[in-house]
Formats: sequence, structure tokens, C-alpha cells
Amino acid sequence: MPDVITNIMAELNDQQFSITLKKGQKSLAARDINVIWYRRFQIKDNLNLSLEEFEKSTDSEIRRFRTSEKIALFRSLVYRLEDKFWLSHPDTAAVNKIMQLDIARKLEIIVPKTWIISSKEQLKEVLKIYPKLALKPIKDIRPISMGKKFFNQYTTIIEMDFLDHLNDEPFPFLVQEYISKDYEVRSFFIDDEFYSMAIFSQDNDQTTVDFRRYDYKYPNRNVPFKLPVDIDQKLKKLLRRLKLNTGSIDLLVSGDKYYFLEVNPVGQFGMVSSPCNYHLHKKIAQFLIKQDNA
Amino acid sequence: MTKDYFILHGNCIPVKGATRSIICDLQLGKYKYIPNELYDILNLSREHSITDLEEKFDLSEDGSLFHYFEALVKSGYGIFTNTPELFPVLDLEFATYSEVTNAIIDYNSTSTYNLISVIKQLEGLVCEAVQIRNFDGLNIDILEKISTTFSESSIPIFEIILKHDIIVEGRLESILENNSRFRYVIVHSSPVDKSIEIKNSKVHFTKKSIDSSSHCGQISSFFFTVNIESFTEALAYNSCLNKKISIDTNGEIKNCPSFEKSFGIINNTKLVDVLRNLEFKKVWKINKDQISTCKDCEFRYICTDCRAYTKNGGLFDKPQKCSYNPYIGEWEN
Ligand code: SF4
Ligand code: SF4
Repeated sequence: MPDVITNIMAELNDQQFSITLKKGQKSLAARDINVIWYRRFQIKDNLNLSLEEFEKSTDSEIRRFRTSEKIALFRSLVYRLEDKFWLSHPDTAAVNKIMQLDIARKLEIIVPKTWIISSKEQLKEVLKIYPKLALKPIKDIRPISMGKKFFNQYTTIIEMDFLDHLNDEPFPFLVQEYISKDYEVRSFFIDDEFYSMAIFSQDNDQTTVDFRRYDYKYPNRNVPFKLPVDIDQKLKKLLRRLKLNTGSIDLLVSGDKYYFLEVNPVGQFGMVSSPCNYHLHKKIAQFLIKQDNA
Repeated sequence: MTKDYFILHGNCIPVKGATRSIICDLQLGKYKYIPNELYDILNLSREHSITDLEEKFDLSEDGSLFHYFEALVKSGYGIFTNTPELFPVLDLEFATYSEVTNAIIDYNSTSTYNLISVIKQLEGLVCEAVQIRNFDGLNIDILEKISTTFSESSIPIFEIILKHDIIVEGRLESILENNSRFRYVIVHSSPVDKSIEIKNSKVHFTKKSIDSSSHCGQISSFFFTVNIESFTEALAYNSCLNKKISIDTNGEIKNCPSFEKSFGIINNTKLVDVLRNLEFKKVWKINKDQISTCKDCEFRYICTDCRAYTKNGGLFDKPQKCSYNPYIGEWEN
């Protein structure tokens, strides 16, 4: 069971700036922390307003204020822990797809041609040359619930007929040339090593585009994979450039080409670890202990 | 582009038996029979091209090898590739974080030890699954107490086998409604056979009487488990006794309730101290490769095991309740 911290207390005076995290009787002072494994940060937000008051209040303004306070608190915590060892630092973890692709390109890593579209005309021009495009979010997938339905921004293939659904100046979105792949590779990086998995999903249309759209009848084949040495080297260089000491990289393999898609700094490793028996939970724990004792 | 190599997927592991082999698909949880000749070829197929293999095994003429490979690709067990070195075989190391993963606790109307404290100890050891077996009837108050203790514990999986009685049957539903950790409930000596589901629990009523621990140790293909965890465990350890601790109806701490050897009585011995005793862990290391007959059986890493009831009573003999003969490849009855 993870320990959920129920209290964050900070005190700043002319002698010191201290932060203490508390859970019940247990407490942890910032000065006693050596290592942080950054996954995600959340502050439980119990608005102490009655429902009636809440509805009357200018809802979005309250939310915006609270969100900005939460971010400030988080930033203060990160600032206080700045000299500690972070497995994924929140600053480096914030880099988005476009930035990653550009840095990768400069390191001579193959990347799919990518556009940010904000006009129907522009998309039409692109589709004339690349009749099939992959549509995906610029940053992360965020499940959105609308009523009882859930929407995930899984990668979707679009063709000319997509234009029919579009107004002239749509909200900016990202498209990439469609790569017909032999298989996908997901590589988790920790302690200077990649743990990779090949995902064969070509055999069924459901998952051809995005393996996260899981098909239970024809499951993907997930097998251990070893990156070719030159790709391994280039990707390590990329991670160094992005100042990431861990992350989960997505690649597409087409013939002898390895297309870099993105790196997720706080990516899931369980989905690579269990099918490949990599024992990544153990490796991460050992790595953190090593850093803690360093 | 022609592909020079055939490889099995890294999580499809061939196992050779006396008369035939199987490929265990550890991802999708199934297996497939293949002839032993093909096993030998598959063992070399990551290092040798198909043409090489054909020459080596004198199969160049008929093209049969290619057809075998093609069939394996079609059924999803492997691929043709030019880069076999990029697709390593699964790492077959077994690792879990807990010192004990499963426990059998026998508790009868005559038992006098403190069951609740046992469950608390198991929780402290991060045990994953606990099975409680009752042969002669369980007082309803005790059953409710067990249920409450489990629902408040962090032990994820809980099973119970108990003797039918009218009061228990009447209360079972409300107990299971409040405790989602029961995976299985088996009610033996029941007036009828029936299976029902209550919340997350499967409840089987059976007319059979399970009146002692001697009912344990059944071997059948029905109990085969094909996945990474149990396969890698079976490769190195005993597929029944590894990381198991048991208490018999008298409160004796044992590897299995059916064993003679006791490592102390639960009233005055802590489970954690028994686990420090190296003698206790000796049987954990008896894998199928050390067991007569099983060592020649193609099912040895997907099969369960039993060390309490064996063919000639020896610790390294084949399980008594197995009717499979790997030397003719048949189940005998
Ligand atoms: S050794 Fe046999 S009797 Fe004992 S728990 Fe295992 S299967 Fe049951
Ligand atoms: S011979 Fe051994 S391994 Fe084979 S089925 Fe029987 S008990 Fe299992």
C-alpha cells in the first residue's frame, strides 16, 4: 500500500526553510529525503463549501485559484528538494512530443513527418501528399468522461473524408505521416539500460494503429526485444539531451527503419515488465536504494 | 523480402518429454503438442537459418520443415525474421518479494489454536493467498470472525473449504456480500451439487465429503497453469510447496498439512521463526527435474505437484494421484 501523505507543512524563517510531510503518526522531513521517484503529483481537493454555495460561486474561478495554489505548493516542494536525486525530475518530465521529435531529429533519429494543423486548407494540402495520417494529442492522452462514456485520445487514422468533420479553423491538432509498421517497440529505460518489448499487432485492424486499443479476442503478441546497438546508443543520447534518467520510449519498426514516436518520462513499466519477465519493479527499487546510499 | 530464420516467440517455450514435446505459450496461457524431432530443431533455430537447419537435419528434399514453421506462424507461436538476435528468449528467473506466497490452514471443530492471530502473522509476511480448510464443521461465529479479519487485512486472495451446515448456508450470502476477498468457497458434504456466484466469490456446493487432508494432491490437466510466474517457479522450485506454509488441525506448523514433520506448534512458535529454519525450506527446492517420471514429462513446468502422496512414498517419487504416463504419452485410468 502506498502511503498517502495527508499533510504538507512548510515553515520558512531566517534560519531555515523546512517542509514536513505527514501521514498519521508518521512524518518525514525534507532534509531526510535523499531520493524521489516522481510519478505524479496530486493534492486531494476537498472544497469545504456546501453544494449550494459551490453552485452559486463562480465555479471556474475558484477552481483556477485552487489549481494555481496547488501548483505553487508543488513548485515550492520541488524547489526545497532541488538538490536531491530525482528519478524523473518534474521539469524535464514536462517536455512535449514536438520538442522531443525535434531533438531526436537533430540526433539523426528517424521520426515521422509531423504537422500541427489549424486550418482545413492546410490539412487538405497535407492529405494530398500523404493520404493517410495519424492523429494524436500533442501531449498526453487524458481520459475524458462525458456522462457515462469515456473518451481516450488514442491514435486514429484519418483520410480525406475527415475534412467533412472539420470547420475551417479547427483547434490546433497534431498529425503524423502514417507508417506501415512491422511491429511496435516499447523500451523502458532505467539505470543506463533499455528493457524493450516488441508488440506485434498487425494481424488485426483493431490495434494496427494504437496497441492501447486492446483487442481481447486477438491479443497482441508481446515479446522481449533487444534494440540494435546503434539505435540503443542514439536513444541514450536523446535521453541525456532531454535530461531524463528514466522513461518509456515508443518506436515503430518498418523494415530496417526505427521511427521514434515519443518518450514518456513517467511511463508505465508494468506493461513491459510482466510480459517480458524483466522484474522492473525490483530493478527500480534496487536503483533507488543504490542512489539513496550513494 | 525473404526471411532466413524462423523463431518461436520469446514467451513460447518448448519443453521436451519422453515421447513428445509441447510449446508453452506463457503469454496466452495455452500449449501445443509438437514431435520431439521438431523440438531439437527449434532449439537451434535462433542460431541457424532455415536452409542450414534443413541441411543439418537432412530435410532439404521435402520442404516439410518450412511447412512446420509456417503452421507455427499461422497459429501465432512464432515468426519468420532476418534478425533473430533482436528477439531474445524470455528471462526465466523467478522472483517475488514475499517470503511466503501461500498458506494452507486446517481448522476443525477440535482445533484450539488462535486462527485470527495466524491470519495476522500471514499478513505481516505479505502472504498473497490463504486457504482455510475445515473438514468437520465450522462454528458460524468463527466463520464471521475469519471473514472480518480478512476483509480488514491486506491479503488479496482468500479461499475456504468448509463442511455444509444449514446455519452456514443461511449466512453465507451476507458474509460474502461484505467481503470481496473470498475467491472460492467450497462447501462439501452438501445435500446438493450447485455453483453460484456471490459478488466476487465463486461458491461451489458439492455432495462429496472432504473429511481430511488426504483429499489433496490431485493431478490432472485441468490444473495445468501456463503463465510466466508459475512456469518460472516450476523451473527452479516445487510447484506445490515453494513459499508455502501450513498449519494442520492440531496447530502443527508444516510444509503441508499432510506431512509428518512438524516445525513447532503455533501456540508457541512464530511463523517467521519457522521460515528462518533452513530445514523448512528444503522441500521448496524439489523441482520436477528431480522427481522420477515427472522429469521425463512434457508437462513438468505447467503441472502442479504433490510431495505428500507419492507413488512409492518416497520424497522424490512421482505424485501418487497422477495417471499420466509420459513414456507412452497417455493418461491411464
Ligand atoms: S504436497 Fe500434496 S497434499 Fe500437500 S499441499 Fe501439496 S498437493 Fe496438497
Ligand atoms: S508425470 Fe509428473 S509432471 Fe507429468 S503430469 Fe504427472 S505429475 Fe505432472
